[in-house]
Amino acid sequence: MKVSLNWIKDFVDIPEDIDPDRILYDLTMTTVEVEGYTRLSESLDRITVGQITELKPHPGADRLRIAMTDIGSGDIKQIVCGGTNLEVGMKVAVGEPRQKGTAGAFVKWHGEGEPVELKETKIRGEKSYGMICAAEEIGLEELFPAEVETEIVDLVGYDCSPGTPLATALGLDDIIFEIDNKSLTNRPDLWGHYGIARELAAIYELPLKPLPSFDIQPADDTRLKIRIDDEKLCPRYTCTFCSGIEVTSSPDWMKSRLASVGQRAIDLIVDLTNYAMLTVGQPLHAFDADELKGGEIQIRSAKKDEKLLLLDGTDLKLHEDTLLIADSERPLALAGIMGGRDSGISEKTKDIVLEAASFHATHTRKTATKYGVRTESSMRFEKGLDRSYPELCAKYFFSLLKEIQPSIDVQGMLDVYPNKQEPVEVTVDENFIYNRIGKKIDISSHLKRLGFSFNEQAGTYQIKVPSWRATGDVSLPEDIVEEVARLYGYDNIEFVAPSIKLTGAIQQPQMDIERQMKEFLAYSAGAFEVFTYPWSDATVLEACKLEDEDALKLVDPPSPENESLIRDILPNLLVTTRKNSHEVKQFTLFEMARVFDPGASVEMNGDSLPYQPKQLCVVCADESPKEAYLALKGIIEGLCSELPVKSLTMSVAAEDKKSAPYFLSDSVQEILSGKEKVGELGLISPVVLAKCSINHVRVASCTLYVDKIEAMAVKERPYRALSKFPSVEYDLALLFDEAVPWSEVESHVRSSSKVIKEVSFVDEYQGKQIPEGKKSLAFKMVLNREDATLTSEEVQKIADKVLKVLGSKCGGSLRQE
Amino acid sequence: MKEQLEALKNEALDKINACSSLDALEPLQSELLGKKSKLSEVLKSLKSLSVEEKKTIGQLANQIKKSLADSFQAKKDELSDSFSASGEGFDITLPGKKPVRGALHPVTQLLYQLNDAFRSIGFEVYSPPEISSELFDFDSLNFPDDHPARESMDTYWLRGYEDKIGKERLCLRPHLTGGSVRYMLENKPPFRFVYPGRVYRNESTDAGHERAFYQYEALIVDKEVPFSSGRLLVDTILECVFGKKVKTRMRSGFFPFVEPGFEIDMECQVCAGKGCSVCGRTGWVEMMPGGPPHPNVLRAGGLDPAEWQGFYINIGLDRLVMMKHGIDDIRLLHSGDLRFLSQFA
Repeated sequence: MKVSLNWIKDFVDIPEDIDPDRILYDLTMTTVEVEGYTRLSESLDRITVGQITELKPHPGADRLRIAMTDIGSGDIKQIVCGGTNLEVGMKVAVGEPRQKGTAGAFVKWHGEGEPVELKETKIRGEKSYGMICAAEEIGLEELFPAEVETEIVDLVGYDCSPGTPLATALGLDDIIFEIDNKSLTNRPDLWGHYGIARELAAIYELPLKPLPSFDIQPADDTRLKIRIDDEKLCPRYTCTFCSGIEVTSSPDWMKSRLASVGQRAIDLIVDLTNYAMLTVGQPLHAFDADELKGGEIQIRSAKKDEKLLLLDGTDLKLHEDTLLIADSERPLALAGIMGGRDSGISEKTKDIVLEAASFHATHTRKTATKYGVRTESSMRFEKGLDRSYPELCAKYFFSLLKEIQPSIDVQGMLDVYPNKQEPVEVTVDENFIYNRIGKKIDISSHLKRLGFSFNEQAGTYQIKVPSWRATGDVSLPEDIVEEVARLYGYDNIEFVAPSIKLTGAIQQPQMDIERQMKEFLAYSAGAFEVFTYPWSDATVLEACKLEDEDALKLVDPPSPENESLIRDILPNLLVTTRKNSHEVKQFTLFEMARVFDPGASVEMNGDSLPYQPKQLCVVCADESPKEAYLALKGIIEGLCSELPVKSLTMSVAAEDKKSAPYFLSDSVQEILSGKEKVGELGLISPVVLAKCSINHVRVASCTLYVDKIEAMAVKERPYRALSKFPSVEYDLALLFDEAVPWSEVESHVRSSSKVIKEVSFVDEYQGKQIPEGKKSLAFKMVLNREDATLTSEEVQKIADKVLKVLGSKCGGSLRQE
Repeated sequence: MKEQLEALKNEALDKINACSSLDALEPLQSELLGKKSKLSEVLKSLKSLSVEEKKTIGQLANQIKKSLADSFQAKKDELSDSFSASGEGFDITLPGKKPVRGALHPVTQLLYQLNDAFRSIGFEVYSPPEISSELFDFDSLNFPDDHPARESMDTYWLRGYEDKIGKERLCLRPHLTGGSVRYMLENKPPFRFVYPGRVYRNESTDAGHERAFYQYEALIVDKEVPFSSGRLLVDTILECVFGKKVKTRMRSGFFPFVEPGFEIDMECQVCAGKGCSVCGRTGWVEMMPGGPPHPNVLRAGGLDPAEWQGFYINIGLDRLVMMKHGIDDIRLLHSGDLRFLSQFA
């Protein structure tokens, strides 16, 4: 919202030493967020009012003339000018040239390009002091629309003498504050200049002038019937009748004011309704009295398929729940939002009916949203305005109109007010306030400044909240604390560190495990944590064979493709993989997030919520599927042994076990804790990858059920005593059929002897020197006895045993060198 | 004989000194000091000398032998300690081998940093559900029935629950605050806890707006919590993030769940408060809302507002991360782009 400082100063005399920066700061700290301000006159610096005293032809140019111009206190300057509308006695805008130490005026030649500084010059041999400006050259084309390009600004009608700065003459010598509308949502009283003035009066302890008011008598109620169908939607409706109006254009001062806050001037009556609204915060609407038919104003809901042509030309087909202003025959206006074209003010209008009413906040907002018509009026009504405002604002409107057109005849007001605003009283103890603020301050003076009246007895305040704050904003003792504290200044409250009782150490092993998992992946496994959204992409979901009728869906999703909430992170990580695979061919990503299970529900604090377990998904991409798979497997093995949980193992999933449909089914391994599955790992099917347009890399992924793992947290990892006797390493390389899996070999080796403490894979080899259909597996064993040093005979015996076992169980034979 | 020995010595020393690599030095050991060396031959010929001569020449020969051995060892040590001569020399300007290193998301990094700071002053970390109900995320937080945030243009409501109200109407949480009420119901006051996490708003996205973003919220509840206590929380957060004291200011703001409501600004870290484009030339950046829980919120949490007071602060983590690293587009945070993420490794 734009707020003019001059406008505010109509109601409160702010001393000159309180500059705009200070106002900005103080309003921001105590009341609303002021985003900044602009000095309107900035672009009009060094442009002054001049008056032409004499016009002479230019000896060297037909289209130019020499204008002798009084630029104040009889200082006559010669200025060469091409303006076609120049006349002696005319008041014009003179751009002054650069002078010693003072910059000249900046103008835009023919309204285009960057502004250029004026200098004294000679034009075709004639000296010229500065420039007589056209509107577009000084950015005033809206106030002074030119009919032809060669016209210069004619200040006729402006009460100003030569030498006056133009900004002052036009009432543009003003500061415009920009207030963040969002910070005003809870303060309907601040949606007009008078409200801001009242706030500043409170901040600076200055008197607030009363709002001008024209005394309107009650009207004869036989003149028009007002019918309010729903007093909740329309708590109050007033109509004021006035005749003898001439719909002219508005006086220049009003046009300037409206322009300064971004409101275009239209005609006197419409401008006045806007002006009064921008002052008080209460929207008004004027009907042409001749257009009201049937002697009744109805505030009712629309009938099915009723139509209304709005002032801005929008043709609306109305819904039945829409609140309308109508006469006996037809809809006249969308209540609180915009009037209809047919009943609006025109040049011919002589008599008006001025509507000043109260409308329901939410209904107005919903209606405005429904029809996509958000106006200055609806913006105010949707905040919930003080119901005393309609009368106040109508009286203000007519005080202004009477001053401009003294001949008007204000014939009285009809006021139907079925739903009165409840007065609000709050009782609060001074200690309640001191306690929260953390110190004693003068409560009474702060309340008075804010217009709160009260009785105080023994430290207890009985407070009457003024009507403009009693719209829901102030109703509790806490609200009074806020009022007093903000006016005192939050920044004036000294910092006192709270005294906190010591408690026992906080143990949160589950939180720690989550973090350990992530840190292991990032810092030990070279993986990058990514964030994806909690909703999935329908195409990718389909590619992953995860289409899901039952998935939880959003009412209003980011896009129709994204309506389902995720049950598995992998599809979103595939999208991330695709994006990155154009740049890199080998990477590891992970995300830990909640997934949403529509099937299961959990009771939480009386709510029944979908089960939302945490999932960890790790994805390895590599050009080789084997590399991707083994890289991922290594990471998961590392992760499982790192975590302080009961031991986790990996085992090839039985074929009949259900695993995620996007895996190559024979690539899946389950991660188990005992018999409980806590995750699975596998290679993404090439078909799935192709459907996801992942063409450059192969992908392995692992999903872990974090909640299940967290539940297994153990505090200690038991220490195993070190053997007192030396260990022996023993390497073996055997030939096997290529179908024999390592895991089988490993388990046979392990079970061959208790002395074998470790078995580790060294390499697998096929090719030269290895017969077709065979492979060589090399591995290392660590042998150790806790009770004695192993002799070489014992070692040899164990090695022989291993060879024998492998030979009989899985056809292994020693590689012949 | 004496002269012969001296000559041998000088010749040998020259040879040793002339060596510039261990490879060249190694053969000299047997050549100069071995059994077949000239020196050994000289020593062998001592037999033919007189006892006197044997004594003097023998002594000299041994001295020479020892001195040559010392020189040899010294040269060997010198060459072994010389990187380029020891045979290990390579281009030391080659790039170092990179350790395998990924990264936590910059938001997670900051979140953990804050968790550490808060846990160190006795706060518990709490993790409320992401799908929550209207009851907790609106009703309990003193949002009026007709508050616009309750509409689907602001909040992601779940399909199938549209016609329900209160605890039966479910949504992706639009803020963390509802979770605080759950905590209050589950625990006994006094308490202090943080509950960071991701929240969701139905918005159109641009460089400054996201549909999913992280917040960090903290609540203290005790018998007496003056406004200034809230400032301790704020200062803790900012000091932790920026590694130094950061100037803050508290001003009036409005949020349904706090009474009174504060906007807490911090001094712009880009221009140090002088005013720049980041802070809109004000020198201040709006960082977080906060304030004491509204009495209705305490009641919803099962607490008597006459007995208990509190203070909330809520901070936009994404925004703080952006401020910290100078990130100019919030959408990067959910982009999953490794070119971005790898910068935080």
